[in-house]
Amino acid sequence: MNQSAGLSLPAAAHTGAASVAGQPVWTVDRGVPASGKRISPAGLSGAEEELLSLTIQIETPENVPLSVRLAGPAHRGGAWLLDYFIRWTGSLVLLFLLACMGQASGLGGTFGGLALVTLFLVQWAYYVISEGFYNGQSPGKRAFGLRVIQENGAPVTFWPALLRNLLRVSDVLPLAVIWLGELEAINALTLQLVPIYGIALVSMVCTRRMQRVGDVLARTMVIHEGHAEQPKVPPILSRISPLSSEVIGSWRPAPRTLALIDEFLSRRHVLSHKRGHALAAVLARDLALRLNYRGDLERVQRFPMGFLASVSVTFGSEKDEPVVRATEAGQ
Amino acid sequence: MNRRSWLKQRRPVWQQYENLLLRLEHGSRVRRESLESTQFAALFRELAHDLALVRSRGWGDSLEKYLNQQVARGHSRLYAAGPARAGRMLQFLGRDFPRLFRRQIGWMALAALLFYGSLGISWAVVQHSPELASRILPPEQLETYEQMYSRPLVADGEDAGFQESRAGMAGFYIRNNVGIALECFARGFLFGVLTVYTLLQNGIIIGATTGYLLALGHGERFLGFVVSHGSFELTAICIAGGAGLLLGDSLIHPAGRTRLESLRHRGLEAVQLAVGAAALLVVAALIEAFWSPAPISQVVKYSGAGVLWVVIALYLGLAGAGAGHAD
Repeated sequence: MNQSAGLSLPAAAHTGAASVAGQPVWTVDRGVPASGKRISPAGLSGAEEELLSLTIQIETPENVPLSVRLAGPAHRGGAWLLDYFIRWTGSLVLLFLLACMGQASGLGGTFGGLALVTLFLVQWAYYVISEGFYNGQSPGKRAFGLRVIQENGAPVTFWPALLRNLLRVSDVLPLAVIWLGELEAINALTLQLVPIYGIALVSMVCTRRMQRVGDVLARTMVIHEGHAEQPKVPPILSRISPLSSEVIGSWRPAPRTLALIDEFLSRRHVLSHKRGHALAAVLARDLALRLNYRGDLERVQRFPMGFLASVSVTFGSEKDEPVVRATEAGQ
Repeated sequence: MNRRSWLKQRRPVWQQYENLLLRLEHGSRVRRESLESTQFAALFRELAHDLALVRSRGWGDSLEKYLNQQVARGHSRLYAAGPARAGRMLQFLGRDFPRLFRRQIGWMALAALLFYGSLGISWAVVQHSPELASRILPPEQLETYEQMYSRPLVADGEDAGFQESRAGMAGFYIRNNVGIALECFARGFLFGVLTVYTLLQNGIIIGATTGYLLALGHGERFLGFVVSHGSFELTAICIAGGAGLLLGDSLIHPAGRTRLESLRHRGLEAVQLAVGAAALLVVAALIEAFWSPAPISQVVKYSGAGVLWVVIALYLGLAGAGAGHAD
């Protein structure tokens, strides 16, 4: 791995650097690969990444595209299973209560009718009500952090929720039949039709937004609701002294690189010390080469995180382009 | 201005925005103060601007992710449609649904033709030669029907329990019929094939049953039973079927759009028709359970049925005809 300064990066830098924080750190010196196209962390061109990624851009009236992450069949299947379980336990409990009340009051017919209406509602209205009135989240979806939204990013409303859930009866096809044996007392339960969601799966593969037929018609999609925290300030920076101008050249790292270092350092605690240094080493060595660092190279190799921190302290407080505030720009 | 000092300056604003957003997401809409709304809109635009800035400068992935999520949450709050209201549903049933029915009268008529046509044919054929009934319906079913209508629907002295057991039947009718209608609609998107099948199948079975019972001489009792709730039920079947056909046709004749776009464009109207049909079927189930089997004279029953048929015709033909513009 002892390559001379100024030559192309070692192969390890390609793979290693890309995995540091999903950022192409080597844009520092080689932003444009031979093909001339801008490439992404995974080494794909923009169009390819668009095809493969699970994020969708939503255009906003503010002219700022928002990205949302689509939910795939596995998560949605899990949410469906949980909902299925809730629906069955819920209706069994309700049926049992109604049967008891029917017995106690002697009005068996009335409570029998109520039981059938309950089954009807559980079958047809469970999703419509939960998604239509609780902002696109059935209990199962809530547990799995999923939400139904409209294609334009707005929350789902009653009619789309209704349409996508009525069409569930088409999406579930074909049905598998499972015979649970002779249970004459609860005849309805002996023959279970288990939905396979075959049409839904095919439709999800064929559509850009991973929509089942109901979603396509109702113009809705199911997304992951991420939870993002405000990025923290790197804790150790206050005790780090900047590099003196005597040991470095005149080259300046890009703001993108400095931002990457800051974010890496602020999340340092999620890694073990050793692993942190190992990951930081890739960038630290390249930076030392690029900066023409004439200080203690031994220290850079042994404590690459420390070196990154001092780079961040050295350049992080320098002036960047002025920021025009939104309010000022609007006037 | 560099990233670090900018972050320091913006953090309080983001905190303020987050707090306000949390209040808006969980607070009551009615009690919202006007100041909050203005403030929220302004803060939201500031955050959108911050997001654009972070992206253009490449100021970090997790920062971008954070701002993206905050703006997305705010976006769904700011551009949300109003909450669903029960009043809307009444307005839909009282005005929009009949209007929609009249706008799509062609499909309703086609579904009615398929349904009543097959019903009429199988009725005529089976009444002419009742032995054919067993080729359509299973023999046990025929036997049950025969027993059901060979004696009065409600035996003398059974009055006390009558209302009570009928409530049970209402539940059954609602679950069964509404479920069938909704499926009839939803499977229409496969080019309407399954909808046509469901319409013909129901028409043939109902027709065969009628023909068989009439041939056996139970016609008086049977017709007295079905004529009342038939008004709402048969109409609703035709509407649900028409909605399914509408869905199927949007795939067959996309009319200048892509097939998918056409399906989406007309899908909303179709689902509204299906929901209207479901509402009619709930009414039908109540009539079928409480009025149709009531031990009253046939004259009263037939005149009641006549009123119901007129009501449904007036409702679908005139409701919402003059009141303002559709929105």
